[in-house]
Amino acid sequence: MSFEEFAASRLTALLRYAAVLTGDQEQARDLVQDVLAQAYAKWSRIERTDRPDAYVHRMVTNAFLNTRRTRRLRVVPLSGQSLDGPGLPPQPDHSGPTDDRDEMRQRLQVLPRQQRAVLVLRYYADLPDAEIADVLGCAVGTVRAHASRALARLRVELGPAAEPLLEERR
Amino acid sequence: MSGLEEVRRALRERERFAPDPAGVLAAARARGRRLRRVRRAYTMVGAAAATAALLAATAVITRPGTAGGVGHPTARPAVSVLWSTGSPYETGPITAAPLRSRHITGTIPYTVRLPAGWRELSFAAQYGQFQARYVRAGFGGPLLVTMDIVPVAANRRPTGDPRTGTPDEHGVLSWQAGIHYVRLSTSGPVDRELYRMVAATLDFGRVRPLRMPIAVGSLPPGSYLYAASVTLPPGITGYHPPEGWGAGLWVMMASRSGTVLEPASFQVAFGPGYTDQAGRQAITDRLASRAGGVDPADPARRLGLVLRVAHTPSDPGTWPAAVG
Repeated sequence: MSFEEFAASRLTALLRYAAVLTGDQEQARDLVQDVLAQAYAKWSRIERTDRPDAYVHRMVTNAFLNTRRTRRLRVVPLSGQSLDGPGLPPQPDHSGPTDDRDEMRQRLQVLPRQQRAVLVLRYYADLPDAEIADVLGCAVGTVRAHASRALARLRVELGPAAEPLLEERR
Repeated sequence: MSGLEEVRRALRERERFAPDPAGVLAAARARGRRLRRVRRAYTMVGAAAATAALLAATAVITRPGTAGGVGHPTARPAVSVLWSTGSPYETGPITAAPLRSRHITGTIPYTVRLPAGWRELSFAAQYGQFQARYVRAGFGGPLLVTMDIVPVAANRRPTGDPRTGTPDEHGVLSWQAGIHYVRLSTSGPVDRELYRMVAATLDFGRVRPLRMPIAVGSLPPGSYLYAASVTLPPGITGYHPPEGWGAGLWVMMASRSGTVLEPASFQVAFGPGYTDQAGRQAITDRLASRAGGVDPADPARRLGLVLRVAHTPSDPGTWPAAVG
């Protein structure tokens, strides 16, 4: 499979996966762009693997997990006041949730990256725990622990009404 | 609807954040090609040695009149000035990867020794080229010597004799050093001892870190450094930089292609050693005047910033040790 063939067949899905992971268009674009550039530069090696698509998929996941906080800085409009140096308090977001879906999306966004990645791989990519462990380079038990903590956190954050509805996959 | 279905639905809804594939692919291809070129360049100069030197960021500054170097705290540079073996006029960022830190930290890709009385004055990197200027107080005013380092090309031939520091009839001494072509020129009388010592001691095997007292306050993801120019406090009586500033920093940044940056995407933060309010205001004003300067038709979608520091930072430790 050439790089062009890979891009034609897999890029859209890869971008969606990155978008689900990050919940942010700019971050998703950066993530996939960084990974694709690296993949392009060493494609001759990647295409010799059994599953180039799985290899790049794993690159995206690892890049997401390794993304540093500095890359998540918000873009702040330029003004005289905002240029007054560091230490300014972050601007509060007054928009607020509009419905439960927004609330769920926001709760997902504040999960630690490992937990979020596990949820995405489990409930979006529908991978079995063993495969998730392989992607993340950890034990199956660790995957289940991350999933359990993530669901527990969602349950808490969503409030008592959602508690009976959230059950961990066995 | 079960809770897990709610989770699945919330995850699927995030698909709407997926960006346009065409733009991502085009930018990735361009960057991938650049990565390949950089790798080939490293291969030419000895990949192992170059990579180890950069990653270890062994901070060594060689002072004039000393045989060895003076160590600096080890730090991984956020920005590495990389070399291109392609066309010297090739446009592109001088960093191989997006900036990952608000602090602009560069690497001076060589060490050199200077005769007594000479100081390093400025560094500039742009489009695969590097330029340094050296200054010395003279009877008729400061003497400036410029060192250009560019990729080797067929039309660039050695001039003068680097062993003796003898330039050609135009006062230019140039020679090839590995993949680099080095050219020394002067604003006044030729100082052969300077030429000879630079030619003899220029060492591309050792790099130096360069940290600025200014940080970029809001760094859009995917920003590259396109060019950087740093003027150091010269510390020479009677010498005033042309702009009247004691020290300066000029930075030009751009998003990777495929992304439109809002003109207001940048702000500047100040390092702990920089407390001068007038200087802050000068930078703020300069940025504000530049904020509308983005040309959306520019394929590189560059965003130029001009930053000036009015005074020498109060924390000299944020600057590289002056040579001289």
